[in-house]
Amino acid sequence: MTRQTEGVPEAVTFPSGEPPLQDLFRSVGAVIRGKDDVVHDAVVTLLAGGHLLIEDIPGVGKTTLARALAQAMGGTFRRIQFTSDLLPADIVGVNVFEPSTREFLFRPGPVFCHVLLADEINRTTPRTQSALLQAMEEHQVTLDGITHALPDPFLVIATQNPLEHHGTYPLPESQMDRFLMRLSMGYPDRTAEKEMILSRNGTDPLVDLKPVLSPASLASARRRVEQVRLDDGLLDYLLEIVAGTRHHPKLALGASPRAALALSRAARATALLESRTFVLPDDIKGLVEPVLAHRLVPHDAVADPTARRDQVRAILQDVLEATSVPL
Amino acid sequence: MAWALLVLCVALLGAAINTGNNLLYLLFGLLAASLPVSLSLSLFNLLRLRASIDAPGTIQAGIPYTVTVHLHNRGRRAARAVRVRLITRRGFLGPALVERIPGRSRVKVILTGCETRRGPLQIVGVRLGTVIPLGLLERRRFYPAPATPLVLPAAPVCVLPLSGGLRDQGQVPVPAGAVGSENDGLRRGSSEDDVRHIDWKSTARRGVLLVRETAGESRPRLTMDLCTQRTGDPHLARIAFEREISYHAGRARRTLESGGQVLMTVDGADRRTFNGPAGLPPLLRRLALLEPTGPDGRLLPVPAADRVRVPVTPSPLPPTPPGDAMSRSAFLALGVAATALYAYQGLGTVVFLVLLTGLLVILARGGDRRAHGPWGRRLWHTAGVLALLVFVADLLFLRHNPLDASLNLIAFIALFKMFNSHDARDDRQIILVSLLMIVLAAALTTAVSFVVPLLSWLALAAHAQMAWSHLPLDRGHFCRPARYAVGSGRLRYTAPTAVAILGLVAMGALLFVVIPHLGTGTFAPGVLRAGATSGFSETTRLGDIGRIKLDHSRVMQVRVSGAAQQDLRWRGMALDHFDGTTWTRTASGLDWFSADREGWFHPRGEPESSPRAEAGLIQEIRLDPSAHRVLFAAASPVRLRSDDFLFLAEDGTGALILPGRPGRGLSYTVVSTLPQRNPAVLRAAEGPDPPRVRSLHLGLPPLDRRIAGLARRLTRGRPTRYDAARALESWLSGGLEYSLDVADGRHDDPLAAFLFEGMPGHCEYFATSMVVLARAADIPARFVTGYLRGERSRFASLYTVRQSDAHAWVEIFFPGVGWVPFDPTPAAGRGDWQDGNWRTLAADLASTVARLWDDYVIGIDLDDQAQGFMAMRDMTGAWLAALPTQKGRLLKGAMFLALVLVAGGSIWWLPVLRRVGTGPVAVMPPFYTRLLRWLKRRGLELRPGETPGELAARAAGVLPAAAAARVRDLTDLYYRVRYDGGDGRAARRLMADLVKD
Repeated sequence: MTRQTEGVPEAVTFPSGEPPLQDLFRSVGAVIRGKDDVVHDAVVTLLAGGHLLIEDIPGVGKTTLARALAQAMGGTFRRIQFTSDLLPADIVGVNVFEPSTREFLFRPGPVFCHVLLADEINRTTPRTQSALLQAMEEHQVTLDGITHALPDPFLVIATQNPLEHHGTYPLPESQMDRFLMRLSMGYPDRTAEKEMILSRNGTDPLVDLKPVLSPASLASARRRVEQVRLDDGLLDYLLEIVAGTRHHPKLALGASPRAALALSRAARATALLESRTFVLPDDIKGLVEPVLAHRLVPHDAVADPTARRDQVRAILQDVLEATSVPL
Repeated sequence: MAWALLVLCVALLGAAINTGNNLLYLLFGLLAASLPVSLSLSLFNLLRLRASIDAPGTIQAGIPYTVTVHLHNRGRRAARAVRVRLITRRGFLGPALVERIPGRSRVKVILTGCETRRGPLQIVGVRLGTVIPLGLLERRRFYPAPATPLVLPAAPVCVLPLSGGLRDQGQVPVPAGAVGSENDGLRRGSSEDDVRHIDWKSTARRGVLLVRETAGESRPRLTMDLCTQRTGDPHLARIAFEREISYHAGRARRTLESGGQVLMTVDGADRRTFNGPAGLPPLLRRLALLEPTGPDGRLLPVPAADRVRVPVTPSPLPPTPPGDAMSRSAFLALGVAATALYAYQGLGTVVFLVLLTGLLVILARGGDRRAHGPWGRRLWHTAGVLALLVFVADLLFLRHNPLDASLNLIAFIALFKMFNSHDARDDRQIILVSLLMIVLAAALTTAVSFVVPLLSWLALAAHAQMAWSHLPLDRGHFCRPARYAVGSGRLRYTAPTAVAILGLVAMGALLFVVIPHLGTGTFAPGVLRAGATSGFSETTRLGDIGRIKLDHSRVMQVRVSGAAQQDLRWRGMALDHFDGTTWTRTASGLDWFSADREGWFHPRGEPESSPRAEAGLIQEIRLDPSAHRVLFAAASPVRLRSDDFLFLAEDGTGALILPGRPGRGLSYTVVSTLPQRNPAVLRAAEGPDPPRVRSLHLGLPPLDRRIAGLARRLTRGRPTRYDAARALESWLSGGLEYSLDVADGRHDDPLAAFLFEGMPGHCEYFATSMVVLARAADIPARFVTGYLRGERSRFASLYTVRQSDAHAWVEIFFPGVGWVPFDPTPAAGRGDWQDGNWRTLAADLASTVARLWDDYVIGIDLDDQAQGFMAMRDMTGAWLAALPTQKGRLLKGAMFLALVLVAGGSIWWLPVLRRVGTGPVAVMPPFYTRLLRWLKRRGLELRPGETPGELAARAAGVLPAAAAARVRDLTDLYYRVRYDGGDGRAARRLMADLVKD
């Protein structure tokens, strides 16, 4: 056994004093039972500094996941329930006139937080949706010509219900592109569901969830993501996949350069979460669907979201099979 | 070429060892020297250069990129023939050739048209290679590209979705009905566009690169370099040309029409700038001018009136293209080799003349390679088959001589190559064929004259290779041939060729001396000299020598050292019995003896002679093939050594006899004592003659009566034997006429006619007369044959003895002293070699050089080498020992330090340690290849797009648990080695353990 480990470090060591990222994964996973892969991807998004879009039917735990994430990372959490009469000022904040000082005072909106849950984001008007755009992309908001920086880290978790069409405004492609990943929860399996019912007992599952990270330690973890090694061959592989979506005959819109960037960051974050200092082809391959699927537009797109998701998934599978892994 | 040469080197060494032919060793030395010489000169060429690179980092598929490489020559001398390659993860792009980089200057090399059709290529650096001087090895240096961030940059400006269909920059695919300001001014982008103009939104929507330029931004500018290229097949050339022209014309027109500017360079010169649409007609005219076949209305709508032939300014690139210089030198090298082969009887006259005519025709055509028509090709191929048939027939039925048959075949191959050469590769093959011819010629001769064709061939071949190194090659894998941007002035190959040849000769000579000559020495000097003639025989008939004296062929060469060298002559044998016309030897018994342990033969000499001193004259004699068994030496030999015979006999008269007639040349070293010539000693030599001497050396045939009277008259009143002999000698040499043209056939008694009737005579008559007279006066005397000293070289203590130096003289016996030579022949008969006209001087020089060649090139063997090395060791040892202690210690220390420095320096420069020239190309570690093979045998293969991890997971479902776990381990290991950039040493160790199980 000693011979086997000689010269080959078993696990990558990190600077001491920082809690392992696995703790985050574990504490969120304790709340959201039976959805380890979704939790995993959500944590990856968090690490990669992206935003998350959770698309699923009501009642599968979208909000719980968002809240659990926010609580576990120890940041401030705000929630906006998007409705059709919501205004941009309700998100960003307003300048109010303060009579005592005779000047305008900025009242920050709910966007000034670490984790923002944008519930049912497709229920509001495009005008309000786009108010989130600058915040998501640039981590700052501009009001009356004054730019206010958002706290770091800043994570938007948006949810939407794909099945309801009435009174919704589907997100345009450009806004979909801003989300690093799109996940869907799906129904829990039988045992997980049973366990959930038994353990809840009418109490809030998040009561026991203690913060395992601080916003500062998350920021340093994000800096470490940058140092994860991405082999040149793998970068080529990644770009080949991206280029494959652009040339695919069944796709009207391929992956953008931002998608390639997102894929590489997510792959690195995955590696870091799995205590590796280097990216594997498996990391990239596993992330292709959650990172790319929502950005692609098939030529003959079907209306039904589930069928469309399957359609895109088949195309991506096609691309992956056509792209050889660098060996 | 390099491999062919290496193989040839090994074959040559084998042949040299097998035959012991030192010329083959010499050729081997020269060829082997070409490797280090080439390497060091190339290194010298490269070490002065530094390169930096302006590269895009990644080359996307489908777009021709332009990469700029800056070369900085820091040395004072110009660097030549540098090939620039872009190294990417998957191979290289290029090469582009830079012919000359002047000293202390910077040069910008623009590689245009770097493109790939599959996937992105990441540029990791630029590699410079140089093949100076002999094109044998390419020395390379690698310069990494600046560390371009391999992650995607923060702002998405670099990775463009550029692929497919960018050549036709036609209509923008605007969706039907989508009109509006959003689409205004949009057009498809190309590699020339500034990234700032890219319209990201539309690009992302449509999936093609779309750009929008607003007014006031910099106008597009297009730089075009048009070169006319030499290509073998005119048809292909035309097609390629048309394509290029239409492509350039389209680009130029679009640029001009969008208000841009086009800068056009034709063949590296003739720069013209065209502005605006008004510049279009002249531009198109210039493009049409280059069009070889005529108008193509669709591509180039040029009115017929505009199709004028504008003279293109001559290019500053070499007016003599390297290709021409190369083929001329290659053809000349072939001519030299063929001539050498003919001169040494390797080629028949007819074959040689055909070859020569072919060469002259080719050279007269200026090396023009014309493509044969289908009939011409068929004719040549038929001739080739015929030549093969003739070769086989010759070998099996006609002459049964593989050498002759293959010589003719090689001659045919040369002829075939001459008339069927199309490109530089054929020229290099011609050089190889000529090299083969030179090698065969070396096997056929040992003459010094071989140096001339050898050196000429070397010069021509090196010159051809030098020119070859300046030929742009078209070997890029991923991109079209990149064009070179530099070429200043006429290229000359003479100076570097001279440097290369000097290096070659020096290094080759060193190798020749150093490599052990293991051959059996079959090809010793003189072996191949035909027709062993000799004027020397064991009996002498009066008058024979007259004919011999007219023969100027060489008998031997003698190098003399030791004692004084006056009155040298090479004694053959002594004859004691005269029957009136013929001298013969009475005693027939031979006394055989062999060499002592150290290889020295010790002839006992004649019993009557006095004990002799050891010191004497040392002669190194090289005897040409002869028809007799006698060895020559000055006076009486004391010691003799040779590697050419094992036994030796002496016949009792001081002559040394070989066991048989030597069929080939011999060489031996002999130490002789010189005869006693001191008159005082000889006058005092008194006493009775031994009976054996008296019985053999006083006998006379019935002679003319006058002879006895003459003898009495001449010796009367002489107190001693010495005086009597001197009197006879001086009377004969002073009073009788010398002539080679003796009409002795008319006289019954030629001796009497010579002595009394005024008939002229030559040395045999003089010597016979003196012996006869001496014997008549009761003095023991005998007749000695041999050679005069011969022609003395003005350049070395070296004597060349010819048949015309054959001579006869006399030995008189003195009691207590032995036999002492006397020569009654007048000086006219002894030859006079002092006349110094240029012809004798040249002949002398030639023979000296030939002797040196024979001694130091042809004749060198392992013994000589060992002795040379030992002598050198002794010399340096003695030199060091002779130094004062302190100084010696200092010197030794300095030498040691220098040695350490040199060793350290060479290690520092070693390519292995410095990783010079190794492009970082990812290679799958062997252990994973083995694992894949192992899995494949069990039906598990990597599917398209499958990662190793997925394969391992799939294997887990099929294989037993233990095996699956190992596969998992190995995959993890492979991941670590491959993607973590770590070294695979630990992994390899682990693999060894795992695979063993």
